[in-house]
Amino acid sequence: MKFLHRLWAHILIAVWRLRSQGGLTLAASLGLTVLLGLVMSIPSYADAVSYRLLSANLAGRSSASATAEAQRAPFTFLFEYTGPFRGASQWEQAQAVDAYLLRQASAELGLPQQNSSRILISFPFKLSILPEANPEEEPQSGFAWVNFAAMNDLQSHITLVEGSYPEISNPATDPFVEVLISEKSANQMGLSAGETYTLYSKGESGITLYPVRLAGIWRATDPKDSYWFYSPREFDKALLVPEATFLEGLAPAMLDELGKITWRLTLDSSNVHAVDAIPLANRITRVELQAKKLFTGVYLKESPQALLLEYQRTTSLLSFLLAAFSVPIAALFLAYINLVSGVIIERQRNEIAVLRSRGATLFQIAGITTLEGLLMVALALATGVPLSLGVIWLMGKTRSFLDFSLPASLRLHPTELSLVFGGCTAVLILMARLALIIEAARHTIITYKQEQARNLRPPWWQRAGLDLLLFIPAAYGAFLLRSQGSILPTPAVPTATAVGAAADAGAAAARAAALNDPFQNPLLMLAPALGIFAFTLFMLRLLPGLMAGISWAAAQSKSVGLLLAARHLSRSPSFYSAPLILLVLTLSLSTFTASLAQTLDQHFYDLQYYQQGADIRLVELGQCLKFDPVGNCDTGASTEEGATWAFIPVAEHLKAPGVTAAARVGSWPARASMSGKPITGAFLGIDRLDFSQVAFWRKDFAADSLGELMNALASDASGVLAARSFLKQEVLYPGDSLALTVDIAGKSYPIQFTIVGSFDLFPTWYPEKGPLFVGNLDYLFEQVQGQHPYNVWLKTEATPCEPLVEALTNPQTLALNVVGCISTRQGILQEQKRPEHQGVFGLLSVGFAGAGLLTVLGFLLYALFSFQRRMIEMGVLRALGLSSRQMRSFLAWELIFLIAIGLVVGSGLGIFVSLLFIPYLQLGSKASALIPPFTVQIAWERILQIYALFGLLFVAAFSGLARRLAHLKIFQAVKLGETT
Amino acid sequence: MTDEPLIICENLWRVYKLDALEIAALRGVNLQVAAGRFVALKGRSGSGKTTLLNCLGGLDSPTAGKVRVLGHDLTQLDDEHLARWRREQIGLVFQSFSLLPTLSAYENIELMLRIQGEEKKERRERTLACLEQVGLRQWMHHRPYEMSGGQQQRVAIARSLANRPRLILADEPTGELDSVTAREILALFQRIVHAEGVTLLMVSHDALVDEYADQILHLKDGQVM
Ligand SMILES: Nc1ncnc2c1ncn2[C@@H]1O[C@H](COP(=O)(O)OP(=O)(O)O)[C@@H](O)[C@H]1O
Ligand SMILES: [Mg+2]
Repeated sequence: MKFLHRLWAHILIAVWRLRSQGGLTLAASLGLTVLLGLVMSIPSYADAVSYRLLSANLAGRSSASATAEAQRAPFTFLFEYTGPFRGASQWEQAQAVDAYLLRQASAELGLPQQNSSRILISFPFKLSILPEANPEEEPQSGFAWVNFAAMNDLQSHITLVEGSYPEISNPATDPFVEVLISEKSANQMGLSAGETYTLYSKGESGITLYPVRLAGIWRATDPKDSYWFYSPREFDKALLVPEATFLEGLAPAMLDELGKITWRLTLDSSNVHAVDAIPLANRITRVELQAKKLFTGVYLKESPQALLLEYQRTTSLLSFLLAAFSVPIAALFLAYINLVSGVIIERQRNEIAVLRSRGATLFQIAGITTLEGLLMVALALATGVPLSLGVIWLMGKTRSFLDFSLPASLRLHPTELSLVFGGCTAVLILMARLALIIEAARHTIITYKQEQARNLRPPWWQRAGLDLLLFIPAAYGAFLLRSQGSILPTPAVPTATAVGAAADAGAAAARAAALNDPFQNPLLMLAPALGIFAFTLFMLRLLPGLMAGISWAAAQSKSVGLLLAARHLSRSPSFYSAPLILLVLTLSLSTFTASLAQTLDQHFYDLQYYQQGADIRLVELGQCLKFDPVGNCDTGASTEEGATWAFIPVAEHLKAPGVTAAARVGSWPARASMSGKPITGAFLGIDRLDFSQVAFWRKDFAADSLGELMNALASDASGVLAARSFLKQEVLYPGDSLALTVDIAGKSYPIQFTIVGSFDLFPTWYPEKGPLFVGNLDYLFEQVQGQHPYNVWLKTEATPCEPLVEALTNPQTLALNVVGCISTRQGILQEQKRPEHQGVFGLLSVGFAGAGLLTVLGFLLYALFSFQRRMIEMGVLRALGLSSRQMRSFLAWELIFLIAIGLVVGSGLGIFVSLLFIPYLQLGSKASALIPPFTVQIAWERILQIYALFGLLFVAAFSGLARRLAHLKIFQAVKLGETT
Repeated sequence: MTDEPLIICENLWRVYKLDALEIAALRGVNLQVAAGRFVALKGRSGSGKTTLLNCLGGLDSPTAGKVRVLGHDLTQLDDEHLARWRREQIGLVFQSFSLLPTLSAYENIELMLRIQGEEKKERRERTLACLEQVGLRQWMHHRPYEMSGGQQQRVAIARSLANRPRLILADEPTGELDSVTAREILALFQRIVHAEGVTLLMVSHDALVDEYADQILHLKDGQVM
């Protein structure tokens, strides 16, 4: 009780003391709150992002924007068996795997089964559709290829257009197998319910006949239903039978019943957490291996494995990035803590000395100040938690750097880790404070002289040569990066198909992902921050020299304020090293951050545009002039018979609203026969005039400008542009002729071209897919005697595809045959919402803004404090007769020097470090993420904004000081210097 | 003009207000100091000596009464004019710490002349002359923390001479010095007063002062006895 009473008394004293320090306490608490808010937001943020990432990954790519709370889609597993050749396999052999997949797999995967289904498809038969055909003879014309197919639960998902659902039939008892046929086929072939036909199959034992009766004609009730994971159109040419007919009737009778089996498992994913990703991926591999063992030829066609591995990779990449970007921010926070604790302790130095001389023990002083510190920290923590949630909320709204225009999408919920972070920071601050106080309290009476002498010495880290030492790891990191080429060892990342194709690829991929742990060399991640830090400290070493130069120059003039400020800065480096470190760090990190963000943003944009080539890409078919018997356009028609397609002039696209340019771009596989061996690549046919108006182009794509390349194509109709690497490899030069074989609609056309130019990169081209040849589309069509469907690239202000496609296809006006549309901008908008994109930009933005805020607070604090601390000096100067104009100019120059040095050195350093390190920060899982490469962007606009901010900071600090100066009582200030 | 005392105080009051508390440091001081003399102002600690000196130097403004110094009514001057008046006509010496710690002895003195807007050559000559006068020429490039208390005080005296003041106000310049050094400083002051014809008003509670001063005033309970 007595203890509590005493404690309460102490708390009251502490509160009183804090109150008596007014502004300083307020500024320090505010800074502390901001600091703790930011520190605590980072782990919660990382957690929220990775949770959302998992949900988004599990929900599939299409719903990458899913919010955290959105319903997760269940996992779908598709196992498939495809008979290698007719007669290879029988249903009896597949029964074991069938039972395993449908009954056991779910348990082995550890995921509750929601439902399962199975599709059985036989090898194709010839269905005679000519009524007068001879049932004994295999038809040579008037037939269609069809297969028997059975899927469970079919009846409830189809609507019968005609007839009835087939009875279960057994060829042993009933010669006719009852089947369903799709509405589309029935219409095309003119079939109706109740008719009977014959199926022919030619096997080793001769011709087998299956008489069928069309019991009914069907259509999918809802083609969008998840039941139709294979689109109903896939069954257009199928004769659907009840499962029992297939398994009990057909299977025993047929020798070659199994063309294809598909098992589909839908498993509940709602309890899968981030940590389960890798074990689950491994279990999937095990189940797949087991299925293979039971029946060779079964493979896992579709599973969340690739997504899980992708998730694992993205989170590890994301946490890497988050950590990498937190390091500089943390450094800044430390600089801030250093500054503020220094300021507060200096403030308390005299008070402590008084307390000591009145007999207070060291322990008591430590107790009181710790209590004060605790009060402040508790207050800051209490306000910091909601602040951190606000910060996360803001980060979740990040669309791009400092662009918070998305709807909020992260769950707001402080994690334990963030509380730990906050707690540790608080403890760190308290300890720093305590250490300084104990140091201060060791002297009972400190003299002004001692204090001054302390300030005249270089700071401790300079005496210890810390700045020089820091260069060693920074330089080593830079060297490593240079030799490694990227901050991450570029992985041979497994693609989704590779994972599906080879059974053990999954495990291998998991291993590869683990090996590629970006954290394995934290030095690389720390290198930029270390570099900045080392340079900042080193700069402080040079600064007194620079200021001495300025003082010398000022001494030659009649100036008073300028000279006093310059001399002060050149001779008391310890006095202002803390604020200057903070300024330089902020400026350089902000410059680096903003430049990195801008580079990433630009690169992000470049990636999308490179992939698509233009604002909007349309896939078009012209008007078909020839049809095959089934009604599809007969693309295989030979050239002698004339063109298959007719096209409306591409300029018609300009009539659509918003379209300012349109160009035809056609791409076909092409082979170049070089020194005997053919090299397969692609031929890109373009409209050389329009292309340069629509295409995305960057100067570094080729040595020549796009215009020059297009002119080269114009000068020679048979001209072709090729990749420089290809020309070099094949020792070809402009002017050489090049024979290409272009494959169009199943036919190969040998065509002679002349090389007229080269490029390093070309929109839509990824070198891993083989060489690209760019030539005149018209020339190609001339050579193949006819036009073929091409893509149309559009330049337009419009973003979404739909209204554009509507306008283009409107039968009343343009009536174009547009079958596909990709809007690059829409893609960018979509991609911006992806958690990994948002994750990085959210942190960069908030780190940037937080750093700015802290620095402004810290600097104001410093300015006010430094004035107070030099009150005696100010009083003496005023007593000696300095006019207030001279006093103001002294203060102004001091601020100007500090801010200007901070700005110039900081942004210079930031730019230097950006140029040095950003090229190595190009991260990507796929090779395509690296093409086109980064071009480092220096965020000048942001830098200017920071300059403006610091301009304001100067105005604020200066007007604050000028006000204090106006209220300065000389007699009081001078009196401070007396000891009696 | 020459007959008029350099300093005239009439019924000078200075009352400090601390929240509700009022402390009357000066209670109607009447004082006259004639030109060219070394006047010592003595009194106990807390008797109001510093307050009086501050009022005479225009560093503080009296609550009531009249202060005329060097022919100016200080109560009529605003802060800017007071600053200008000080830099042109007054020399100030404080108890301690009055030198700028980042400046060398030379620079501290030169600053005074710089404030006044003197030309470079004149600044240099005058500074060196002042240093010479206090015997610290060879210490000119040292900074205060490298000098002893007595040396620092001599630099402060040299600085107070730089602007060729008619009146030097010194607040316990020997307060922190040992008696040997204090004597040196007092002797220096005495020499300066007699050689330059400057008037010196020195606050002190040091008994040594009696040997050097031409006139001694006593301050007690805010009044000159
Ligand atoms: N700034 C001030 N605020 C309030 N009281 C003051 C102030 N300065 C001096 N005093 C009071 O005025 C009285 C005279 O002080 P001072 O002139 O410093 O005396 P001395 O210089 O003779 O020691 C003292 O009682 C002191 O407490
Ligand atoms: Mg005094």
